[in-house]
This record gives sequence, C-alpha cells and structure tokens, in this order.
Amino acid sequence: MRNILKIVKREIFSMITTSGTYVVAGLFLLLTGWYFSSSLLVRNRADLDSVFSIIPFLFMFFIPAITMKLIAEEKKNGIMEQMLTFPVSDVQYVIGKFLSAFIFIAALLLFTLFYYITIEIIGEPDTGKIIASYISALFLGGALISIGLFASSQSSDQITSYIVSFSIIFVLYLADKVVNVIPFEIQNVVLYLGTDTHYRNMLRGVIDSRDIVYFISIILLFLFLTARNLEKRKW
Amino acid sequence: MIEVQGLKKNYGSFTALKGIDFTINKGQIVGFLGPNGAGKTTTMKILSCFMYPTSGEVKIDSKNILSKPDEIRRLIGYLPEHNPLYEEMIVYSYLSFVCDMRGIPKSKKADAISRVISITGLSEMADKTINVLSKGYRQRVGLAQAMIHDPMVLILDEPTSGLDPNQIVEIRNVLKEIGKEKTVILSTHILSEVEHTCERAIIIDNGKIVTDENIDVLKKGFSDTDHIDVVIKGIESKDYVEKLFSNCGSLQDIVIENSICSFKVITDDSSDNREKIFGTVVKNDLVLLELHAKPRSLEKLFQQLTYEDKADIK
Repeated sequence: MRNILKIVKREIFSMITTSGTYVVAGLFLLLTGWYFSSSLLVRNRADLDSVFSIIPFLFMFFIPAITMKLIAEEKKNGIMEQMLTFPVSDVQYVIGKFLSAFIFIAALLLFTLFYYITIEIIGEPDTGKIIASYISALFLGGALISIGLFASSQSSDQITSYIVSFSIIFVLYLADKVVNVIPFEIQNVVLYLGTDTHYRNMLRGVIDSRDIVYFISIILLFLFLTARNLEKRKW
Repeated sequence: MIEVQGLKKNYGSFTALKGIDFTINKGQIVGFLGPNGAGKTTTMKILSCFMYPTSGEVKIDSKNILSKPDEIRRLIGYLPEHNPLYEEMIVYSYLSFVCDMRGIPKSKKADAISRVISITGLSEMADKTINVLSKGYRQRVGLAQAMIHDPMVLILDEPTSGLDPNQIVEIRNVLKEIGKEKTVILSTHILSEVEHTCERAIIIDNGKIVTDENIDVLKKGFSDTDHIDVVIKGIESKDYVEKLFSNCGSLQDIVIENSICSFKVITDDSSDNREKIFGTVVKNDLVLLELHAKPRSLEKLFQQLTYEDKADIK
C-alpha cells in the first residue's frame, strides 16, 4: 500500500508540473460550464442533467489523453525498467498509475461542484439525483481510465495508445445506440456491454448493484490485462 | 554472491544468450565486455530481475531470482542502460522518491541522500531540475539512485557512457571505492574502462562467454610483442632491407624516404627480436634511429576473441 501511495504522490506531482494537465482541465471546465450555463440561463433549469449528459462524450476524448502516457512513455524512455527493479510489484505499479489518473478525474469533477453550489443557492435542485450522477461519473471515469491504462501498456507509442483506448471507449459508448440495428438475440448482451446503458441508468438517480458490478468488472478486467501486459516483458 | 548457470534467453526466435555460466564473489568489480548486441544488457536485465531467463539458474546471495525476486531487488542497485530519470523532478526530490520506493525509513532518508550526494559529487546540483543537468551529472544522479540503499550488489549498465574524460576518471574512483566492500558488475564496450576499474573481465560475444579472466592474467597473457617498429638510416632500396632482415621475421609497411627507411617486423611466435635487428644493423654499418617493441593490447585481444568467435559460427 505504501508503495502505491508513493507512486500516486509522484504521479500527481508530475501532473501538477505538466502544462497538458491544465489544458485538459481548462477545456473540461469550459465545455461543462458552457452546457451548465446554457441550461441554467436559456432553459431556466436548476439541474446538472446537461452537464452529466455531456460528460461521457468529454471523457471519451480526455481520458485517453490523460492515460496515454502513463505507461507508454515510461516504457519508451526506460523508466519502467527502473521502477520495476525497485521492490515494487507490477500490480502495485499499475494500481498506482490507475489511482493517480482517477484522482485527477475526481478533482475535475470536484470543480464542477461550483455548478451545484450555484443552483443550490438560486433554486431547488434534486440533491439525491445529483449525488447519484457524481457517483456514476466517477464509476464511468474509473472504467475508462482502466481501458486507457491497458491501451497505454500495449505499446510504447503514445499516439497508438490514444487511438487504441479511444476506439475501445467509442465502441462501448456506441453499444446502446446501435442496438436497434443488430440481431434481436444478442441485443441484450450488447446493451449490457455498453458503458452508456449503465451510466444513464445511474444518472436517473437509481444506484443499481448491476450497474456497479458492471463498472467494477470493467475496471478490474482492464487492470488485470494491463498487469499481464507488463508481465510479458519477463518472458 | 552471484551464481549464474546455463543462462539462456530468447526474444521470440532470436537467441540473445546461448548459455552463460559465471560466479562472482563478494567484493569483486567485474567488467562485462562485448561488442554491441553481445548480450551484456540482457544479462544485466536478468540479474536485476527485470526479466526472467528462458532457461538456466541465477542465484544472488543464494536466493533464486525466480522464487524470490522481491528480496533480490532489495539487495541490488541497478543503473539501466540510457540512465532513465524522471526529467521534471528536482535531483533531491527524485532521490527522496527513490528512498521511498526502496523503503528507506523517514528517519534515515536525509542521511542516505546526503551520503550518495557526497559520494557522487552532486551537492551543487541537488536543487536543480534533472532535465537541465548535463549528461555527466545525469549519470551521477543515476549512480546515486543505484547506491542510495547501500546495496550489496551494484549492477551498472554502461555507467560511463557519455561522460568526458575527467568525469570518467571521477566515476572510476567512485566505483573503486564502492568496490572495496560491494560487488560491482559493470558493462561497457570501452576496454580501457575495464583495464582501469575492474579486477576481472568477462568478455561475451554472440550470447556466449569467450573469456573470463582476471585483468592481470589477461594483460600478462597478451603482453607479448605484437610487432617491432624500426627506423634505419642509410638504405636506398626495399629489396635490400628485405634481404637484410629476412632472418628476423616478415617485414611490413616499408617506407623509404631520403635514405631513411621505416618498417615493421612481425614475428610468427611473437618473440622479441630486437637484439637480432640491432646486430644486423651494426654488422652492415647502418644507423639505427628507432627500435621499439609494441606489446599486444587488450584491444587486439578483444578483436581477436570476438572475431574468431564469429568465424567459428560461419
């Protein structure tokens, strides 16, 4: 556990000193802010529905950008070799990377609390639903980070890793949108595999264990595949 | 301390190591020599538990690397090839991060860092960001990082690459100092490196060990005369020289200019024929300007060993 925390600490430090972090954070807040204020000012609604409906789309672009370098870069410049000859296990290394990206996403979402405070002051928002929305966004973020990390461990090229993670995320995002054009027998399976199915379920304010199980399985599956990718180097 | 038996490593269909055996005792400085792609880095990656061998047994401090990689990682300090560092970090905080990863308790951290900083001469650079450092200083940070937990075994992959001559001498002294108590393995393709720093050289080529000897033995065995340089005054034709010195060995690179003739004498059995040459010169009333026996260098040995090996395969 201590090793993981040390990796997270260093990773967060590195994010703070990288300009790319601020670009991603700035764009994220600019876009969510735009959706929030247009819904508030134009449609006169005191909720965060519009913000949370755009989040899967923003995550699709931003999370691969955050995760692409986490492993690929260290593979390329050899730091991974250094890190993994410390008394650190592959799993600790992967979890450290995962948590640091997750903390970054959580921090981004923390900033959107300003939107909630605004509508709390001027209106009467459905707080329970908003809490559920935050939880679902965190789960979605976790799943996508896990996918991104896997893509990052696949190659030592950051662009390749971006494209791979974007593609996986995009396919999972589309699943519930293309469900009408696929054979009836597998519709349910495809619907279950789609990230948006579960995300929207939770957005409604219902925290269903099936959705949580889905997100946690995705996170664990891709973390496992990432650790296996690292393991490959040994043989 | 380190026992390696029948070490083999394949990368897909490519065989990088074809069965390597050696034993290194405590307190030895051993140089790994070999041309590019000989298998030096692969061996070091296996010793440092970054990757596992395809077959063969590796034991460090009588612990097998396959069954106790975590314990072995604690015993070794490793400087990978190309010396990877977190560029955006400050030297001191990078070393502090390494302390954390190495599990050095907080109370001993400051001591450990200041110890390696003073050994590697980094004190002026401790508060600088790593990416502004020159290559020599980065190399020192890499060394400092490898020694920070006072490991029993130091594995250094090309520790002096990219350093200027002064820095090389300094790093050599540092290594010699450390080598008094610890086991140090360093790889290099620079021969003088091994000559000056190591007690023992393991020369590998094409995934096999071609020589494993103490440096002194190596030098002695190859200190025979390679050739003799001679410069003589009073000779006009090539044929005449060749006839005169035919009993001393074969002549090469004969150059005659203004009746000054220079040439090399090469003997089959590497014997020292300087007396014979001198006698011939005196007998024929010539003037001897230069007479110098050149010993065979480690370079030559290296070339011979690695070249012969390739010829075998063909």
